[in-house]
Amino acid sequence: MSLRYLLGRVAGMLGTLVGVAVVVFVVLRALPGDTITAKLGTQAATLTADQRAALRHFYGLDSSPVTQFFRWFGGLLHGDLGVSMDTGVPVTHLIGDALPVTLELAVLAMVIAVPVGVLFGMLAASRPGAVRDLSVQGVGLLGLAVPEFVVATVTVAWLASAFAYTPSAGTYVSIGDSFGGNLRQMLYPALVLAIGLAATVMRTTRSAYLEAAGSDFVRTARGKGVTEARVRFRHILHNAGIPIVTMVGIQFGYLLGGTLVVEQVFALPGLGRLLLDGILHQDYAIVQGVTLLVAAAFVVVNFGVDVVYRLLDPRTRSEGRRA
Amino acid sequence: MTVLRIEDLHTVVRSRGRDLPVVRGVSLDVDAGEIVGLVGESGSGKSFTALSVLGLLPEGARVTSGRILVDGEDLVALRERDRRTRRGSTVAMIYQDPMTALNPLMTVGAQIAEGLRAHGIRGPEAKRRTLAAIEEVGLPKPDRIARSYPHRLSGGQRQRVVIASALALRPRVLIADEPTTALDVTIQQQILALVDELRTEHDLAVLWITHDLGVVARIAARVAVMYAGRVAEQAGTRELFAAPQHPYSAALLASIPSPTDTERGPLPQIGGAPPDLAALPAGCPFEPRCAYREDRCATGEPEPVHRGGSDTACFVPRERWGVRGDAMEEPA
Repeated sequence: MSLRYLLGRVAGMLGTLVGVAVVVFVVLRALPGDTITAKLGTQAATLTADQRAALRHFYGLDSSPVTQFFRWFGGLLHGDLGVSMDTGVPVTHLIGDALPVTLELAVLAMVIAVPVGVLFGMLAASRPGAVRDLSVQGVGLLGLAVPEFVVATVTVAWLASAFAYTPSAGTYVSIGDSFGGNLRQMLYPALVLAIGLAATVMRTTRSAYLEAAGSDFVRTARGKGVTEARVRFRHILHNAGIPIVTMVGIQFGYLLGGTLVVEQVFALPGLGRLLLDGILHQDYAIVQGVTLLVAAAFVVVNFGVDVVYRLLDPRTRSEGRRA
Repeated sequence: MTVLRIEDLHTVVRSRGRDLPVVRGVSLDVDAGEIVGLVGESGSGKSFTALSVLGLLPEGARVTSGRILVDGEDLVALRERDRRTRRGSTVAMIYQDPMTALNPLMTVGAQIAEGLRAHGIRGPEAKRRTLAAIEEVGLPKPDRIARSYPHRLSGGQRQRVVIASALALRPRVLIADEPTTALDVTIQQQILALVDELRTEHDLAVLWITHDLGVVARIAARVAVMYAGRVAEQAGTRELFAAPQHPYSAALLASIPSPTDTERGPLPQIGGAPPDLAALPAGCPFEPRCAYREDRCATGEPEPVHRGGSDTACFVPRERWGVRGDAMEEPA
């Protein structure tokens, strides 16, 4: 991977993030209402013009949007995401608390879903049209079709009634506090997330595997007397890897911003919850900060996927000369 | 000495709940150091014959009867596990399209070594033999080629790699599935010469599948012409080209353009289409298209007979052909 390519990529990533920052900022300002009405509710109507002006000044809402943007953006460059208007806590602290929760949830869900999805995808593709294929596909479709909030709610209700275990009760235990306690809280939400993920990965694996299995080089490998297991993993799965990695990358990026529902049902203080609170309180700094973070995660994951491509497929590497 | 002997091979393909006969009683011998051309159009069963020998029939296809003997061992009777160990070491194959026959994600050295490892040759020995195999097919700088990915090589180079990989374990039988069709003419000649040379050197029995009679004339000592899953005619190449004993072979030969033809008339074609394997005629499968057909051709399928230096599955001897005029129909 050349330095030139890397620099180009990093510049592109930064450009994307600046764009996201601008769009988020503008969209939030375009929404009706502001943090004052959100915070004071109906009482906001009783504010005098002076009081309102004082509050607007206090929250920095009286300067022009352009000034506000550059004040915020200038802070960003120093790693300062601003202060929550609602609570006065720096957004970096809020994110610092919430990100590990969501990250752990996402990683755990991926760790469960990817092997399951890939193996079942291979199983289905090993005999297209057979019973195993149809059952795997049927279950997969079900996994995709049932919404997360249903699975999550049912899981919580079932755990509570069958085992008198309520994962959403009590306060969140971080990994640092207790590994076991943390895993007990995280496992079920991760499983719920993993269902839809595994189904997606399975479907991608199945189609990519089938396509690769029809390649001439697979016959060549068999013709050399290579064992069936090696043909399947080394030749077919490896060649099916690119669509699978792409799908996994997209899903992972999506998870970082998309565990909201599960976090809500399982009462986990993750990024989704933080974002939701931010939106409810029209807490600009929080929404901007979290959105930007999720966008950054997407961009970084995409870059990671590209790096994996290059590891997987020599044709995408530029170095080397014709032999 | 006969290395490959195919005896009355029958292969079927399962299609919509029925078994379609794709190979119907093929018998064929290939001697050590001999190249036999297996000629036929698409659907004639030549590829299924080859894949039966290799034991790599696609899903739904299977050998129903017959024997495939390599040095006296019947491959059909082997269990799949033992069958695998014969692939590459006893019977090897080279393929039509060198651009797709190699795994794009593995270096060619790794792909050759993989075949060796599958047969228990490992470590430095595998490496040494990989480089030797590459060198043997006339590629320069074997260590550099070994480290290359297929997309860095030209079509001709890749086909040489495929050949190197096939011959790395010194198989007794090489099946060549139109290995020159996808190549430029000059490269074709090089690959033909290479296989010819390796055949002599290693006393290989080569079954060369093609629809190109020009290639057959260039490389094969004997030819088997397949039609509708059977061998229509089997003869020495010289004999076949001089005096084909089956009307189908004659028609195939007549449809080769000759560079010495100064009058450029339309090229003769064989009218009609090959029969549907699901509804084979009761008689000779070529009867509906044959210019020399007689009454009994429509009722019974001819068994091969030895006639005029050929084994031909035809009732009508060549001497009786002329009366009925040309075997060919003019294209419409």
